[in-house]
Amino acid sequence: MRTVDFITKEMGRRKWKAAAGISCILLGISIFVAAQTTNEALYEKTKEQLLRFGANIIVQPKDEPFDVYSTSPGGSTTLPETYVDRIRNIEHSGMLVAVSPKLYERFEVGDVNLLVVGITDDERKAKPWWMINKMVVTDEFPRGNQVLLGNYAGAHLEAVSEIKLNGETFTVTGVLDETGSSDDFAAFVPLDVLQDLTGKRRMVNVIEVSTSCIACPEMNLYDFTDEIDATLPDDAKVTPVKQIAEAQMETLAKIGDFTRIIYIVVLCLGSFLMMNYMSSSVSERRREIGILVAIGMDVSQLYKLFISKALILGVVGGLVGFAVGTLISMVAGPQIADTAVSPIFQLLPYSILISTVICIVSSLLPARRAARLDPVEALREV
Amino acid sequence: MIKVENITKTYGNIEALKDVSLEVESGEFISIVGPSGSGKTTLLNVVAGLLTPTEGEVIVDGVSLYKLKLKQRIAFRRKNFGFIFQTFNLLSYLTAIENVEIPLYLAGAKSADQKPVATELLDRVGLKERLSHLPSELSIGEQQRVAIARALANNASVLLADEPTGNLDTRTGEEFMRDIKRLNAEGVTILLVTHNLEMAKFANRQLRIIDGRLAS
Repeated sequence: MRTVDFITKEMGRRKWKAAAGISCILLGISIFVAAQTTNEALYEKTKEQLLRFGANIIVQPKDEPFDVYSTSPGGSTTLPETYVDRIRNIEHSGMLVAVSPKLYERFEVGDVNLLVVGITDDERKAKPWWMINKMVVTDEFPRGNQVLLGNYAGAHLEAVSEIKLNGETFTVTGVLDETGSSDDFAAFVPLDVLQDLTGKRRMVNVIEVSTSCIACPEMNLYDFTDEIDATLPDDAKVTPVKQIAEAQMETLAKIGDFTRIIYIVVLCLGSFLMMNYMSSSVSERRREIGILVAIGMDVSQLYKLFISKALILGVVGGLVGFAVGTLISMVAGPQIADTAVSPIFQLLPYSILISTVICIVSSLLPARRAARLDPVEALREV
Repeated sequence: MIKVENITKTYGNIEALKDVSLEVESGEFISIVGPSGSGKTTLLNVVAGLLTPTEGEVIVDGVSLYKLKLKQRIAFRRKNFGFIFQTFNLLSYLTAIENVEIPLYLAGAKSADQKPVATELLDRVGLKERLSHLPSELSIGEQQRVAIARALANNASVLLADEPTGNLDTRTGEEFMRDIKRLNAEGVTILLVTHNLEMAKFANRQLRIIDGRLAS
C-alpha cells in the first residue's frame, strides 16, 4: 500500500466523483489552452495584416526630411548602400522581414514627369500585396532594363510596352493594381540599374525596414529602432513609423488583455470548482477519515493524502485539458481567427503547472478541515 | 499495564464518565458491560487516546497518554493499540489484504514489506484464500476477521474492541470471541466493551458500567 494506491483505488471506486473532480479543472484548463491557441493564431494573422501597412522603420539621411507618403520625395542627399548590410547584421536580424533600399529620380517620359524608384528583391517581401490583375507579382518584378509601373503611372503612359529613361530603353513588365499609396504614381526599376543611370553608384535615398515583431515582449519596434540607430553612423536618421506602430501595438495589446481576462476568469472558476469538489469529498469521507485517524493516521499523513490527490487531479486535468483545449481551438479557431490554428505544445507544461497549482491551493482548506475532524465524532456517523 | 486514574468526562452539563479508575494487567482479557449510553464507548475512546478526559489520567506502560503531544500520542496509539469496531470499518474500496496493510503503511513500512505481514495475519484468521476480495465480497464474519487482522498489523499489545459482535449473529459472534480468546492466550491484552452478557463471559474479568460509574 502506497499513497498513490490509496488515492487511485479511492478514485477508481468513485469513478463518477473522480470524473467530476477532473472535469472541474479540465474545464478551466481547456478554456485557457483554447483561448491561448486561438489568440496566438489571431495574433499572427493580425501581425501579418498590420505589416501590410508598410515599413515599420525608415532610415534616411539625417539632414534630409523625408515623407514616405509624399509623391515627390526628396533625393538630393543620399546614404551609402553598405548601410543595408549593417542593418541586416544587427543582433535581432532574425526578426527582420525586409530591408529595402530605394533610390528616387524623376524623368520626363513623353509629357509625363515620372517618379522612378530603384528597388531590390526585398521590396517584394515588404510588399506582398503588390498584384497585377489580382495575381501576386512574380515574373513581372523588374530585372535588368525592365520597368514595373504603378497603377496611375501606367494609366498616364497609356499602355506603352517600352519607355526611355535617359536614352535607355526599358521594357514594361506590367502595371500594378491600385494600392492607394505613393506606389501608384511611380515606376520601379532595379536599384543597380537606376544607380548606374543616375551616376549614384552604391547610393540610396532611403532604406525601409519591415520587422516581424512589432510588439513582442522581448523586442518591440522602438527597441529595433534603437538597435539599428546604434549600428549606423551619425549621418543616418532612424525613425519608427509611429502611427502604424502605435496602431499595431494597441491592437496586439488588446488581444493580450482579452487573453489575460480569460486567464483570470479561468483561474477563479477552476479554483472555486475544485475547492467545492474537495470540500464535498471531505464531507462524504468523514467516517473514513475518522477510521484512518483512529488506526494511526496523523495530520501530516492526512495532508499528504489530500495534496497527493490534488496533484494527481492536477496532472491529469492539465494533460486532458490541454488535449481538449487544443481540439476546441483547432475546430472553432479557424472560424474565429479566419486562419489555420496549430497546436502549441509549449503550452502543455504550463497547463499542467497551472492545473496542479490550482488543485493544490484549492485543496489546502478542505485538507485542513479534514485534519481538524474529531475521529470520535466521525466514527459515530453511520 | 494500563492505569486509568480518576477519569471524568463531561459534555456540557452531562457527565459521561464519573471518577472512573481501572487497572488492566498485561495479558488480561477484560470485558466492560453496560447498556446504551452508560459510557462504555466513551471509556474505551479515552483509554485509546482518542478522547481527552475532562479530569484524570491514562497511563500505559508508564507513559501518561494525554501528556504526549498529539503527533506523539497518535504514534503511540499506532504502535501499541489495535482497534475493532462494531461496524468493522473496513475501507470499501480496498481489498482484504490492502485493509490490513493500512496500519503498516501508516507506520511507514515499505510497500514490499507490508504484503508478507498482511498475508500472514490473514492466514492466521483463516482468510488466506480471500486476500484479494473487497469487503462487499466477504461475509459479515469474514469482514470482522479482516478487522482483527488489521488491528494486529503493527504487533499491537493491546486490542480495544467496541461492540465487536453487535452486528454478528450468535454463532458468528461466538466464533469471533473464540478468535479473540485465542489471541489473548497468545499474550495480547484485550479490553472489550459490549452490552451482550453472553459475549462478556469470554473475558477473564468482567466489569459493569452504569451511568458513567464502573463496578465489578
